[in-house]
Amino acid sequence: MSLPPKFAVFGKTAPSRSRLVSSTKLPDVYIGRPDVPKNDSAKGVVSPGNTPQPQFSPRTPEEGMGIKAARRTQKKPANRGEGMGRFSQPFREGFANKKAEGIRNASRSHQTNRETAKILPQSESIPLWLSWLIQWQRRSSVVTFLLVGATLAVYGGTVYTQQLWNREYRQLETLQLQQRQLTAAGEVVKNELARQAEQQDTGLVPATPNTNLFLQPAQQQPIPSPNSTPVAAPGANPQLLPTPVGY
Amino acid sequence: MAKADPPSSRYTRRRSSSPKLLQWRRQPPKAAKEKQQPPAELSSLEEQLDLPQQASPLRLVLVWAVLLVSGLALGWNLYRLQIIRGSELRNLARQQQMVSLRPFVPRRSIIDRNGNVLALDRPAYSLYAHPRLFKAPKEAIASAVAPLLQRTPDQLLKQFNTAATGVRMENSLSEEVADRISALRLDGIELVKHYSRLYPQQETAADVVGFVNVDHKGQAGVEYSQEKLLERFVRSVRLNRSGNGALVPSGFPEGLTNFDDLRVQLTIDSRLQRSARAALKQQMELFKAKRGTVMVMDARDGSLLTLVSEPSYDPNQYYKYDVSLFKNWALTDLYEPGSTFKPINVAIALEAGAIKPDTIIRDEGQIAVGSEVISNYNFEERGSPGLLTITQIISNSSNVGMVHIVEKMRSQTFYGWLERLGIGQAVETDLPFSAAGSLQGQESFTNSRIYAATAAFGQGFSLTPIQLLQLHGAIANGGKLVTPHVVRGLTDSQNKLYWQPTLSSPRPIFSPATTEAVLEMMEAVVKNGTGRVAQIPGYRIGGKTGTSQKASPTGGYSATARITSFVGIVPVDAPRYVVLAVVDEPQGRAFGSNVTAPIVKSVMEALMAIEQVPPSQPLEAQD
Repeated sequence: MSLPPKFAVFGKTAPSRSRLVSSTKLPDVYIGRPDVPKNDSAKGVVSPGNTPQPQFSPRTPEEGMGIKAARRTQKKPANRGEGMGRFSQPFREGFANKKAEGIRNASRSHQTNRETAKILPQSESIPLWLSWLIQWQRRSSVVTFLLVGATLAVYGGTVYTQQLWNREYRQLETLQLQQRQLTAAGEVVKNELARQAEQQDTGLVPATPNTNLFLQPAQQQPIPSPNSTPVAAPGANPQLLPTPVGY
Repeated sequence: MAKADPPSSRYTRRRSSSPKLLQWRRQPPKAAKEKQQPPAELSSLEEQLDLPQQASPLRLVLVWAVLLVSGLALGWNLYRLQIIRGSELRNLARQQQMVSLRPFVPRRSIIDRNGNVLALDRPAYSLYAHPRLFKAPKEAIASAVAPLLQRTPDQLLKQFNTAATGVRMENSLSEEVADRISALRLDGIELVKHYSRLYPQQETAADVVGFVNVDHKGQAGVEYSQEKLLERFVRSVRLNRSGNGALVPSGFPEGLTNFDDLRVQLTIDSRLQRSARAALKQQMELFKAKRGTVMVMDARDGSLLTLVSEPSYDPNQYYKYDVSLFKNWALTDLYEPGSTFKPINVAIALEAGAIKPDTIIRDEGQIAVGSEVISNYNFEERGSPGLLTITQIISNSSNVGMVHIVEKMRSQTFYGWLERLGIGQAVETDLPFSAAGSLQGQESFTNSRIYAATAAFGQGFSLTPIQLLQLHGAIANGGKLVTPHVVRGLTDSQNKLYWQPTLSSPRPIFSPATTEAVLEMMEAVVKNGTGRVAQIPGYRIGGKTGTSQKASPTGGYSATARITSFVGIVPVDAPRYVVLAVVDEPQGRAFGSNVTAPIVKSVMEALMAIEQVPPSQPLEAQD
């Protein structure tokens, strides 16, 4: 029996997956409550579906999935039929009813979905360690993301600084070279000038005191003693004159 | 529900395709467990049908085998690369990735007191050719390199053919040429970097600065004596190189590139040095002298402003000169100072209390001391000058008068004083190869009258020119023996002094009163004595001429060879600079007064102008 690859089919669209969940969950509902009368359960399933049906079943997705849904519904009861022998008649009937309903009206699945959605929190309560792990995973993934970002930034930084260092080192070497060349050239030129100056025909004469101009330092002005300043009263600021000075 | 537990819903959706997983996920707690069994079976049945058919065992084995074999192969390759060829590959990688970085850490520059560079280091390159490694024809390489070396391609080809490897093409290429050659990217052409020392002022300060040899070791002058100060440790670091050839600076030691910018500063003034050399050269040419030296010392601290020896050499091309020029004869060679020593003897006599500045002494013009006859230089012309003051004895340079002065002391006292002055010992200085003078042994000196008599006018013992300078420095600075030196210290590029050599403290030998009296006598020498040539209008100058006979190699004194000298102290009112000029073996009518006094005069003129020493008396307008 060759079946279409399961994952390819169910992995394609979200609605089909949700339907799968609901349809495979169906037995649980009844297993969990075997003593519930079949009519009640049937009603319970059916009756809420009557009113919200138009709101919950848009036509378009169902049409698109018609084939798949049909395939499943054909397939599954056939498979299960064999293993159902152990179940009691009413249960089987109820199950059959349920299946029949599923085939009859695809929109029913929405109703069952809603019903299981109510119950799921009870059955899906995951173990504490798992939730704890999940929490950790979420947090650590954030941390990992940040770390990866930081690592990339640091790595980029090192590469950039190395480039920068190389550039600056080259510049340093160039500047040192220029400094050396300038110093050497300057001194050589100085020496050459001095050599030329020593020659007789350049018109330059050696420095003698005759060519220097010595100036006598000006005689120090006698500093007026504070007693001899009649203007400034003791304690008054001598710079603040009572009247402005005109120029 | 979706909101409360998004991950679980996510898992649900993802794994709902597998009924087994679904069953696990949906396992109801407690009581419902047993009841769940049937659907579990159902789903397992369903699984059997849903799953693709089991892969054949052959395929499994094949995949496993492939994985296993490739894993083993990888492992083997790893072993081979890491262990068998590990060391070899590691070496190869190191060669490729590691680069030895040698930052340019030059030997310190030497600058003069004004910051003019006297010696500086710069990188130079030796060019080697390895013809065996050439990938281009020899002719092509020769024609590519020849213009850069300023040679013809044929010359290079000849060199290429001398050996297969290691042909030394050029010794000291400049950086620019080396850059251009390396830009050619020729295989088999190698540039080896080394340091070369440039002396931009050429021979100007060669006698002080010295030179370095091929191994960059100082061989003379400051380069030799201050090796420790000048040398800097060149560290080389090995750095990794990245793929694009850029250096990876991690592991680059901190502060490797920012070595200090300290330079060795000398007390030498290049301008004065130049004018001193020019004046010395001029007089030496005039009198066809063998050699000469001029020194200028600041008597306050002993720093030398000028130290010139002629003939000199160009330290850039030291190998072209005679080895005997590399010693500075002003420090290494002894001579008998002659009359320039007379002021020192007068100072000794004054200090010993044998004479007073106003003592009057009879000068007979010629006296017999033992078997020897001592006469004045001008005895044949003037005969006996008669009674002379000490000042007159000095200014006329009377030998007989000096003998009388010295004989007023006991010869032991005189000898003791000569020893105290350091005669017979080497002068302490920071220049190398300072030689010790020679003095008679105490016994023979004191037993025989002649030794003290000849020592009175500066013969019979010998000293180096720099020692004479030091002794006259004591006259100039109030009686202290200072250490003549040329190294000022280590300065940075802002001319801030970082380090100073510690010199031994000046040793007092004369009292200031004595030196003042002697200075006045020396001033008289220039004013109206033998040193009139050295007069500079406006300045009070003290001086003393000296003309001494040279000891001949065969014993006794040479009849023709003499050594002339002149020592000047300026200005007398505030004595500071001592200028000494010595000219060896001038020809013709040569005396201290006509050979060396003009040198000292022109050096002092330059000194006054450069150091801006104002005249003692206002200068009269000259024209």
